[in-house]
Amino acid sequence: ITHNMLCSNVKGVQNGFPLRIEADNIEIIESEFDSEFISMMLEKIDYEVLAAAAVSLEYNELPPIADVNENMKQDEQFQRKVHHALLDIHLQDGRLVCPESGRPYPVKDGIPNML
Amino acid sequence: RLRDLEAVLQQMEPFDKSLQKIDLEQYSTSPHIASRIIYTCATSYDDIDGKMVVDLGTGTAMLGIGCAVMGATHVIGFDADLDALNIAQRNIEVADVGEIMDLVMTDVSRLPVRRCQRV
Repeated sequence: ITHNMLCSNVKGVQNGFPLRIEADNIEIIESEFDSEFISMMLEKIDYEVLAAAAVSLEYNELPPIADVNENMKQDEQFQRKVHHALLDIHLQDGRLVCPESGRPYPVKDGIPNML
Repeated sequence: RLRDLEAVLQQMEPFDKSLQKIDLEQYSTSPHIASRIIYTCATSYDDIDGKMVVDLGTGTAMLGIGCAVMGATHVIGFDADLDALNIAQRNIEVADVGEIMDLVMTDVSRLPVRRCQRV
């Protein structure tokens, strides 16, 4: 979920979102599913970015955005997949790379360093 | 429940005095105050349960953890100080809210967050 919000703050970069994920170490931590929360978040997140990020973290279950209509958004199976991608996949070590400048932001022990 | 919240927060590690940085204006929010702030947000304003929370300048994550304990679905703590974040990480583990709270090291006055997601 954090990845869906973070963008590059390199000076002069016009489009620093989304950051490209280079994963060295991924951890899956299951958390409690809240359908209402997921429905709300679906309206706020960038779904395409989420799906692509999930793939780079080895989770391929999210359907392409073209398939995501209002019916799908209410479907619990789908919501659980979104939940998994949004909340349960944690990048422990790796890099988040600015798409425009190529500047890597290191991630260590789950904490991205955006300074 | 306020007592339980305060009890959890009392186990939190405060700032390490030898590593505190004056120019970052770091104050430990006491468990007493933190628990009451969060409890009020949660009960009088229903601002915590099922919500996503952002803690700007999370320090030792005292407030963020309080939110997690009171039912926030996800909490993101932002802070510029790695020493504080290391303490925050340990606190998150002690409070067992690792699946709920994330940390990001950054300058909160230049938050690297895309516009339409400013929460």
